[in-house]
Amino acid sequence: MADIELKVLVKGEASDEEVTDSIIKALQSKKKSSVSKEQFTDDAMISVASDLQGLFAKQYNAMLDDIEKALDQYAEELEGE
Amino acid sequence: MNKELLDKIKKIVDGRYRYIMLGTLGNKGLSEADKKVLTAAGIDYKNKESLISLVYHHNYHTNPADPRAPKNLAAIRRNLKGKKIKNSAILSTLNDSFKELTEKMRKDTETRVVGLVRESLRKIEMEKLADSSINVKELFKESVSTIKQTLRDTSASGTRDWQRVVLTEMSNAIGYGSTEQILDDNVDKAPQEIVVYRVTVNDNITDPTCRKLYGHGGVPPKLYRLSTMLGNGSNYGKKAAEYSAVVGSPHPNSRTSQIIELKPGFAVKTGGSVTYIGLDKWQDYLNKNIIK
Repeated sequence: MADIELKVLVKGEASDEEVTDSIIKALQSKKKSSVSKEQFTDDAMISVASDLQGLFAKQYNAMLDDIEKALDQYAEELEGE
Repeated sequence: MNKELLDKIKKIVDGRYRYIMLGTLGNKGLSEADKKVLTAAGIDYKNKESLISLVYHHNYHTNPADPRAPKNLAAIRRNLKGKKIKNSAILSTLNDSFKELTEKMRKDTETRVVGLVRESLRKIEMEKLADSSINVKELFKESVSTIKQTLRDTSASGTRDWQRVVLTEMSNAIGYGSTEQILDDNVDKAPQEIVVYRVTVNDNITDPTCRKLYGHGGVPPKLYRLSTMLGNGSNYGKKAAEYSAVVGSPHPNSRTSQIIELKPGFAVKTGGSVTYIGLDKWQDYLNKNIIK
């Protein structure tokens, strides 16, 4: 995370969204082995949270892929009109 | 034709969120209507396990989590095999709450995506009204690229929403599961006789309120009577300045620990480990350290 973000968070001036963004950025900037250390105090809970994040990412990306396919298909059908 | 596209997109969003619900709450989180839709779509909905229930039961049976405690999901499942599954009213509300929040996310996503596509289609129709010679096909293709890019650009907000729900609701399950275990272990005591604390994650993004309420960094966790925490209820819907020490999630995105009982005669050290000081010194220790 950028120093400035840390300062905002430590000062307690951050909104919920800013805190979550910082968590996501911290997660994205680290290797999988160290991602877990950013969450909870219990390794088992870190494991469950990681599974839930993986589940969502997989389904959300699949949803975007499906929507893109539907839009492309619609465009193809327009060509035939 | 436009309606068919919008309906198709709605079905895609609904279907993917049903998978998310199924993976999180098992088939107990599904209504009969959900099951019919999944059956029609050829989706297996036999997964019975709710991860929220699993979090609750893990924290009920493993409190405090010592070095021998399960370290991952598979180990939690093995550890819980054959153990009492508590039929708690609180657990039921935790699963219901998670379902409602996921359902709200589904609706928000559907509104955002469908709104984006609908607006593009409307724009093309208006342009066609203004100039009947325009090439609708080309215009739509241009819109599709913009829509795709916008959807990818806004996916961070979906991830952020989900992360908030997961962290907050898991914190609730952790807090309530561990508290119910403490109460069941102390049936002969009133909650005001039970002393508890919780441990915050020792990093820079820990919420300032959690630092203040539960202790953080180089100081021992703060001590409360369980009756005080239970009496404070929930921080849901409150402003940060009004937050108090509670057994559930202290605030959105919380990552705090279980509620941990401090047994008579022990003192808690920085980081949450305990040391025996003796029963004769315990009352003085509580008088000096307990938060009222």
